[in-house]
Amino acid sequence: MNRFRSMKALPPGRARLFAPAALVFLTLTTGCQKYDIRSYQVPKEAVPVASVHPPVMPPTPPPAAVVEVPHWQLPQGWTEQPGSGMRFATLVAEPGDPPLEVRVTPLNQAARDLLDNVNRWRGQIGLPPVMATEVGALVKTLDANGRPIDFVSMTGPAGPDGPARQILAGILPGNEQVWFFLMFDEARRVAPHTKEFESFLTTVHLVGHPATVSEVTGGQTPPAGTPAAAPPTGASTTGGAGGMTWTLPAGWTPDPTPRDMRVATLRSPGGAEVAITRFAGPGGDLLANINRWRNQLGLSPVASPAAQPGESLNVAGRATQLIDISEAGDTPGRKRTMVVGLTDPEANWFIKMTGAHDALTKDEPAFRQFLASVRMAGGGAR
Amino acid sequence: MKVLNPLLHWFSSLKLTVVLLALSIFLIFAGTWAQIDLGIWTVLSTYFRAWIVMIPVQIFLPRQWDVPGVIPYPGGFTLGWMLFLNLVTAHAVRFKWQWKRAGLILIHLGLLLLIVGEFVTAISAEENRMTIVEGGSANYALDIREVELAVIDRSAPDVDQVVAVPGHRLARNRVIRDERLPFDIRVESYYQNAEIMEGVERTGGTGQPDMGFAAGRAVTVRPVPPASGTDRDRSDLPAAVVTLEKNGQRLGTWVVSLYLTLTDVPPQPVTVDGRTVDISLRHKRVYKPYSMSLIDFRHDKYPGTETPMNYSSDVRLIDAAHGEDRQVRIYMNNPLRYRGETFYQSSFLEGDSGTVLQVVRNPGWLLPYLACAIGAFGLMLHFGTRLMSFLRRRSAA
Repeated sequence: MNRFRSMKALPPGRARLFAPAALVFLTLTTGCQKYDIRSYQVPKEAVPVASVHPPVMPPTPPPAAVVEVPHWQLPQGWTEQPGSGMRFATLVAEPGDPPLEVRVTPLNQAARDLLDNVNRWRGQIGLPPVMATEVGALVKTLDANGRPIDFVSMTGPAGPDGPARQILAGILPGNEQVWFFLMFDEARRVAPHTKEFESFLTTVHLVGHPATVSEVTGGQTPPAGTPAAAPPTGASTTGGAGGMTWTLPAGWTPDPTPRDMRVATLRSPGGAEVAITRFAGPGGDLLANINRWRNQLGLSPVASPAAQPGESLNVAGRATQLIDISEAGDTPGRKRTMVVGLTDPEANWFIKMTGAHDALTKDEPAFRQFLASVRMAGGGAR
Repeated sequence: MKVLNPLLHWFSSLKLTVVLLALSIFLIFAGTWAQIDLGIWTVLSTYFRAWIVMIPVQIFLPRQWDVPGVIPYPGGFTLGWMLFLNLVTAHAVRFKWQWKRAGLILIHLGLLLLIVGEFVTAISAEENRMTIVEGGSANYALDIREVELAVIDRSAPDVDQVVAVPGHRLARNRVIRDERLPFDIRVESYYQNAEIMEGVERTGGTGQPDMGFAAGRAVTVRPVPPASGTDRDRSDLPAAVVTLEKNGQRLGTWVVSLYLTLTDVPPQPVTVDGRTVDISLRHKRVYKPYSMSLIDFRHDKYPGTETPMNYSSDVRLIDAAHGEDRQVRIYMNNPLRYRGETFYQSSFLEGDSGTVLQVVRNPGWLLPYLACAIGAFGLMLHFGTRLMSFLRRRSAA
């Protein structure tokens, strides 16, 4: 049985089927093009623009309850400058123009590969790369207060481009980040400091301290070499974090338990909790927060911040509203929340006191005294 | 029609079907090997959602053998459409249209719909991510496979004016001029994946970044291999060095990088014509005409274990234009469908501090279902007809 027709016997009208197919083809294929430059308006956004940590593989360490910072003992004659941007600190081993520096930089764990780093540095000083089996001979592992720190010293050849250059490097893997200590310059300047650099590396130790939101989200890191945040004690009457300072009312104590997004947690003798949060990203939307607090007290959401009554206040030189929300009913133990929101150039802050209604009534004068003591970097209202 | 006949007969050939299927099998083979070096999305766009693909010979060989050369090869679009036309013309030219062959025709119709459905998905589907911190809200999603250089003018009191240059324009390494941009962008270098190192190298030269983040410090942009399909923990971090010019006058050279953006380094200011705009290389943003607030994210675990039992996000959907203001719970296998988009619970932020929703818009989402239903019905009809005819013949004998 011949199931095929001859070329000459194309049935009349069948070829018309080809036309719709060709039309579908053309319609779909002409729609395939990449987008180009776009211009659009968006509602005003906070600066810095809200960033989003990739949930799969963040390029920076994921937010952690405790972050580590290195401490060290400076060799004689060295000076220290605070870091900026990606650099944690700059240690000046020798003044000059340019000064001979040690750069202290934290990078994510992906930058830990020893062979990769060594070969990159070798390339920068004019040396050929080495194989994985050879890299061990170039690295000396030192003891940095109980942690191994890899020390590398390599000198390149002098060439037509300039004199020989030398690199001294220390690589200290922490729990979340890898810390790099790098001295790189002409060999005649670096070589006299080699022993000094090696000794310096053995003084480095990582100290963990509760993370503040500003640290977690990549804000200004604390100056190098500063002591880790001391555990709060009842005797402490002042405090601060992330650019905000305050004075504690009598009897109030800081709660050292680290919490996500919290800069600090304070407790009153009456049992109220004061939470200070800082949102550098998209967490500062006032209406969303008001409705979240209302939701926590079993109240229905409001359509705008204006629908939630508040008392005008001035805190840290900024005009703001003290929002007071109570759970429905009239029992003394019903929940109550008092909140003020503050804005600085980089973030939105919330100071929120929560607890039983009666306890908050007793603590309200102290809370107001606390709010009056708050100071923020950058002064008053913008 | 006489001219068309030979063409139609060539397209309807069974031999062409076999060749196309063989070519498709090899393309899948090559695309799988390519994922040793390239990410799955890169392979998808360069091998399967492309008309032509240049397959490097190297991908089939050990990487320590440095073998140059490429094989020009028809991409997935070419093979898919050739198969589509092959099947359509076969029905136009060769197959008999009879009721007893209805099953076969339906099976083939299902196959055609499957091809069309994949093409519609390839050219029109959008898959983005919306991240919302608990207590916060979001009115845009991110396309994490695309980057854009955003030029943001914040001078207006209530809105920000954004001009976004897509990453693929930067990748051409040319001068970008557009009347919407406040300056010309001369791309000195662009990297699909790069590390930003501070210090170490002092290369100098005109292409050396000297403004914004790079002002006062030596910055090295070090290209690194793109993340591949076999990498579980890496994703590409594109970077570019751009010189900005106004009326031929150089304003300076900036380094822009997704790494800087993701580590919360603020957008870098550029002063031009007495006003300041910000620039930032970031994931492509897709703004929505509505917003979502995250009221609560829940990450329940089985008691006494770290094994997750459930992830859910209570969100408030606010869309003034459509009069929507309602609370919705999105949890695993229970997405929210709104305005042609589907919001799936995808991931969450560290410490359960926020949620990550996958936002999918696919105008062709129904076609595969329809294709499978038609194909399944066709199979039942075809084999049912055969069975009945066999039974009839046996009872007659």
